[in-house]
Amino acid sequence: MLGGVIDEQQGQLTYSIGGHLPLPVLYSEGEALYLNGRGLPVGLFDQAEYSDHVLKLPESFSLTLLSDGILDLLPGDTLQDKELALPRLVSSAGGTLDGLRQVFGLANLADMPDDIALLVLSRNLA
Amino acid sequence: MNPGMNPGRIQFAEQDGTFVLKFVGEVRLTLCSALDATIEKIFTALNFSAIVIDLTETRSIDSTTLGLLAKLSILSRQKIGLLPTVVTTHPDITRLLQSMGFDQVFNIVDRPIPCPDSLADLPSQDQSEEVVRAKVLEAHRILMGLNESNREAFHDLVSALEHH
Repeated sequence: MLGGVIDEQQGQLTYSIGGHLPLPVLYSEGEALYLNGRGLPVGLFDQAEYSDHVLKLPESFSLTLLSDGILDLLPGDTLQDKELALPRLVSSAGGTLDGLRQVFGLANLADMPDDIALLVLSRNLA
Repeated sequence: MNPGMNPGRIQFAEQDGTFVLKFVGEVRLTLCSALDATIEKIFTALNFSAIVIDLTETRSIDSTTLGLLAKLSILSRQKIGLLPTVVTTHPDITRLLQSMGFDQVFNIVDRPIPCPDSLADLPSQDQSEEVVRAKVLEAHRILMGLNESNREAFHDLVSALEHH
């Protein structure tokens, strides 16, 4: 799980990660990067503490949030390969939801072992 | 064999109160009711003293299994005040555990544990009573400094040694 608040006036994102893979991907001007962070799964541990990460948002960006079911679709044999592939795929999709639909071939999926949830937030994307 | 088709299994052993769970292959929710029953068995065992989870031959763990690992950690802390030990040598598994913050709730060992053959006994040394008393005093002063309940538990011992 992860949570975040976007302050539109300050143009910044404050977020926190509660045990989530893959991490969110920030796309801007052709480049895609993971947002950093980690934390215990939410709701299990009494002593869990979470830290806020603050990030200045570019004028033009998209933020891609995915459930772990996407790992079954990403190319590669290892988690490391799959994590490496994701930002590249977001870049080649131009950071858009439609682009990702095509890159992942979501319209033509056969039975998958896990559910796949995908959310793309964007601002001023060309 | 195609590693993607590895069905996964969980092995279990116990010796003198140390319980060992070994996850092999792709461990998914199909194994979880058996795992949950085993966890219940471990924590109702009267001689329970430690738990080690061997993930060195684990290919993947799904979120349901991660939830049960979390349960193991919580129960171990409640019952004996100690965190379980997890052994992981596969970079993907280590990455997964770290992304979930499990390094806070498990003792994670990321290299194989040396085999018993490679362990050597510490040499025993004859020490004077004076030296031994000083060592015992030092160790218990450190323990007292750790927390309040230790302070109470060792108070009498430390003052007896100090006044000896």
